[in-house]
Amino acid sequence: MTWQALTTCALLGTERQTPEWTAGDDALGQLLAQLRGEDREGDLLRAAGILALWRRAGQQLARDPQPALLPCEPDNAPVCSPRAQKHLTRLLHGHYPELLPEWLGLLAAAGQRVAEEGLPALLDAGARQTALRPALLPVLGQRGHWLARSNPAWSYAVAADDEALWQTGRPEERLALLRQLRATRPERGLELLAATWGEERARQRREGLETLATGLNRADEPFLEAALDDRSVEVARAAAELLARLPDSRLVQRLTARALQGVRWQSGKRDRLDVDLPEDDPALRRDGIASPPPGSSVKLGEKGWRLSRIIGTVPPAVWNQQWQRTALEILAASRDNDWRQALLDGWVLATQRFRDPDWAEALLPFYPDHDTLTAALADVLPPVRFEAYLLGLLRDSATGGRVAALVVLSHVERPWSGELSRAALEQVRQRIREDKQPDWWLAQALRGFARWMPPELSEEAVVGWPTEAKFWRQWESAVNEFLDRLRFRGVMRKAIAGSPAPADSAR
Amino acid sequence: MFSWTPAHIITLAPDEASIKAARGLARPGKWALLGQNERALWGECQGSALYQVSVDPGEPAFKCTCPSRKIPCKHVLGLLLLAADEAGTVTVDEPPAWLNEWLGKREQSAKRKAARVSADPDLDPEQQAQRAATRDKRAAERQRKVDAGLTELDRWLRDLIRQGLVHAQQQPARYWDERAARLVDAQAPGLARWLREMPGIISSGEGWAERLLAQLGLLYLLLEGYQRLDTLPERLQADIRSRIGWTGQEAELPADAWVRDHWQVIGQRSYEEEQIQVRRTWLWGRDSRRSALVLDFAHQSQSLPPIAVPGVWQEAELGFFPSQYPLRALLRNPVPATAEGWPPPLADSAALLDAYARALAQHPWLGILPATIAGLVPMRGIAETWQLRDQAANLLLIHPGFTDPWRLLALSGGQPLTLFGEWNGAHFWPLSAWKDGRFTAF
Repeated sequence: MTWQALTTCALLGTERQTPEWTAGDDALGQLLAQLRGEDREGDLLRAAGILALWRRAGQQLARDPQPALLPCEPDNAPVCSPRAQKHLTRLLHGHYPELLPEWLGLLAAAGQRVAEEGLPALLDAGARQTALRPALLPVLGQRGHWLARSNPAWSYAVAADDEALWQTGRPEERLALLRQLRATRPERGLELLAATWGEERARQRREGLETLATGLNRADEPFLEAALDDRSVEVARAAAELLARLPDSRLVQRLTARALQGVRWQSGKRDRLDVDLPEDDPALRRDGIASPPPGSSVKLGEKGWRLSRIIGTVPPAVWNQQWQRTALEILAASRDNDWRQALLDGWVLATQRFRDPDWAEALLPFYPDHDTLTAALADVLPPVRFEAYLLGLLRDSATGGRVAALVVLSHVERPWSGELSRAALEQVRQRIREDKQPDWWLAQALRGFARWMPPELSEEAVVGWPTEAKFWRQWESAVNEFLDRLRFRGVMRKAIAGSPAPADSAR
Repeated sequence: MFSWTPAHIITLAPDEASIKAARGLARPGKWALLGQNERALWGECQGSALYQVSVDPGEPAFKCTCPSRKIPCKHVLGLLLLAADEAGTVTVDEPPAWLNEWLGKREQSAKRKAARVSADPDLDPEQQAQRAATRDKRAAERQRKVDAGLTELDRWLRDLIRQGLVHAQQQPARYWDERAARLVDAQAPGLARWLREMPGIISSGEGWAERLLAQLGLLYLLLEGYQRLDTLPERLQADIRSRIGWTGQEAELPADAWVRDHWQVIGQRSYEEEQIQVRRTWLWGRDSRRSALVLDFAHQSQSLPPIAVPGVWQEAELGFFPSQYPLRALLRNPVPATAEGWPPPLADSAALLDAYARALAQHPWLGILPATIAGLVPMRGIAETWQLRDQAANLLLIHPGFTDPWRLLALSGGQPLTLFGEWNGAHFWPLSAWKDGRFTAF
């Protein structure tokens, strides 16, 4: 009461209101009773000071009306070593961020998890970069999944062990559940999706459908085939995209039949291909091939684009069987065709979709400089053929081939053997020696090379650099950064392979 | 044995450029020699010449033979980063002769410093008397200025309360700033800081008037206390003077103010205030069982003096400034040590409030009470607020300025933590946690 009265009086000012208070007969009241002088302002301030202290000393806390938060389940997986944890902090702070996926992969392979206090930064990184999520989820441990439930930005990481989330969760949590199920029990993921399919909104249907990309298999085909008739164009398109990756889907069979009709082999003095351009029709539209999406390459024209999409849905081996010719022979026969670019685009797409190494090898020479496509094709090759192909290029007598090898290597994302690494490094050194001016792209690429070489090479990689070369000064920092990264990868591995901290209970 | 993190090392750097340069040096190839033992880290770095770099991580102290005037220089930082980042690169080794020489010199100077009495023995009595006279004159001058400044403040406060808080609320920020500036001129910086907090209270939403009135009342009690300073107990006098802005000097501390103990750094935070960097470092003494606050200041462009990082134990002397509730202290002659233990925690937040009430009874203007409390579970409140729930389901509000609530939640996993932090009467600012015997600083 007294305090309220004081505050009201202070708000208005003593020139408008005389301070008045009722004082009890306790110690406080006796103290306040002494303040009844002529000094209005002083008395009000004194009383305020006394009461403020009294209130401060006697304050009570609010009580939580809710039951306590459900604590996290204990986790038996060991926590990574403090040193490994330090490395994670560095990686998350932008120090060699490109090595983060490798670090996460190594940790998951070692069966360890990230230390608790490091989880928020890691979960934030996954919230910003969706590409990190698959690598990050296995190392979060119970604590990470538990934590994700408290922050909507981290919904992607909630534990998928609770299928009730499918009924009750937020959209992001439901997707997280689907993604995690698809990685382990794809049929269960499909069941959940199918069960509520009719009630979902278009966006939820499309995002749910897209999770089927993980663990995609022929059991998904009937559901996807039905989704081609979805009332949402987006959903139907997503279904077509997935069906185009299933070699025995009805969609692939339909388009294959169409392709075989439209593209025919003509033997002759010089073999050639006859091509009928596909017209727009409802069946084709249903299979996801309508007209070029805005922004796509229009060089081919609408019909050419359709042709390339149809060919892109035919497993390349079909052509070999149909015509009894090798990929090289077929490519040679397409040489003078008016629609060659459309054919090539289609074959490249099909080669990537169905991962056909023969066709990849045959197509690679057609794309000597087309960086990302070259890399995408090279990526289809199994390790032995990949290495052989690149070593062949690196030992090519023509500079063009050797440079092409470095270009390809700068774009593929897969580990190299020691032999390939040595040959590539030798080629880089050669470029530095011969340089008339520094190759900026190569300097940039060199940093990336460190990501794919065996870190065991880090000591020998230090020697042999042409420090006398004309442009060495310009190269030096790139080479140093390359060496640092390579060495750091070794250090990082050791920290994970060494002894992890013991599990929760013993800490 | 060397357990600093790169984040800690970076706080030591005098500027951004040093960090950048140091990163370039943090690779083994740059070093002709690298080693460490339980006392120090060392290395020889190839720059324009071969530089000998020594670090005593305990105090910490640095030495480099390079010509740079920055302390620590990039070579020192480079060595620290290398040791922090990569296991095995800085191996345990026999120290070189130059390192032992440096350690020896430092021990000697520490002994000399400890032996030195407050008066400088190199001066003759006449010079000493002269110095004392100058000092007294300066003190009297300040006293006069403060007296005048406080009389003026008293009048101003009365005007404010006569016109009413609503009137004050309608004034521009200048209204408070100008008053604060006058107090700086009057050499009462503590009161100036206090006044500068007021506009923030006015704009703090519902209940602002009560909070403002409470502050004005406490400020007024301080002025009244100062007017009859001589009648008050000596330590309360010291508290009033220090709240006004008198800062203590090492030389003024009596010999019995110094407490020798094993001290652990149990919390630290830094912030900027009026373009000055402030660092608060809390220590806890194993045998004395008391907490201490070491404050460091530096201008924006300078680096704060080095100090041990949280978790580190040192054997040292702490000189406590006289107070009804002594916390502020100076640190001298620290030597790295190994010790164990942690502050015995209060059982719950009710115990914290009890301790706070007792502390206020001693020192009514106590700003912050350090406390270790057991059984706290961090949880999210409404909007972006955070709370600590104790075993009795009472809720302690976490200070809105605390930047790491998610880390706190991650560490706890819904299980109770023992936290050390600062209680300001309304909010708790967590600075460190103990869980399953493991120490984590925030």
